[in-house]
Amino acid sequence: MSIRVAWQGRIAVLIGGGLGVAARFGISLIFSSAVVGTFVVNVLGAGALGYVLARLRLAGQSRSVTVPLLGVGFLGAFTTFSSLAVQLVEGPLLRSLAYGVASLAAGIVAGMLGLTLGRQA
Amino acid sequence: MTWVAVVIAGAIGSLTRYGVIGFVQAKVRDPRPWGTFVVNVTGAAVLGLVVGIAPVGWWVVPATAGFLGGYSTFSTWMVETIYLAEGGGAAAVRSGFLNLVGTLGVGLIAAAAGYLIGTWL
Repeated sequence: MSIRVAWQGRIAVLIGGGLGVAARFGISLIFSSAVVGTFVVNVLGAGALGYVLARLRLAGQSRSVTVPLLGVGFLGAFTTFSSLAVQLVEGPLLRSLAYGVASLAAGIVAGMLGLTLGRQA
Repeated sequence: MTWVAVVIAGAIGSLTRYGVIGFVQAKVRDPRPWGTFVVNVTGAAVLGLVVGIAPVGWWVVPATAGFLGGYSTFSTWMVETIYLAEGGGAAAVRSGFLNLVGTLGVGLIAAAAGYLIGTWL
């Protein structure tokens, strides 16, 4: 990778990541429950990332700057693992069990749905 | 003002994730997503620590929702898990399942350990 391309990627992650965090922060203000907000952004983000990556691969654009900008940056930062983990540890056992299973199941289903939709020509 | 700090911290957290994932993947010489595992587990540990300490100040939300939210990622974890499972055969499905359960399990232990250490401090 040339130095120019490496810097392009870093700047794209910086910009995309800042916007992704802003979007998550904005959505988190809509929901009165932090757990619901985290669940919504995580599932939406997993589906969108699957779609975007499949779409770019289909178009032969897997090495374009869109991957660090929209994939690694925006959608990577839009979702969060650290909040999920701490909410699971902090919460009451039964709620955490339901929240954990629901997050993983919905995240995988959303990701598969996004990939499948993105792979259609 | 909080918004600006959250966005800047989130952008830096995203770039840190990009750097750590690149560094880890180059070190392990294994196509499996160890980089994402490392950022998510360390992000969960540090967020647990901060929540345990419960500090007060203008920097707390930028550091947690901003930096650590941008640093850790749920979407990438989901899509990488699906990619692993799609590899073909029972071994691939096992590998995907291990990435899912392993990251969650170690991430929860990391968050709990960080939280406990934080409450002792």
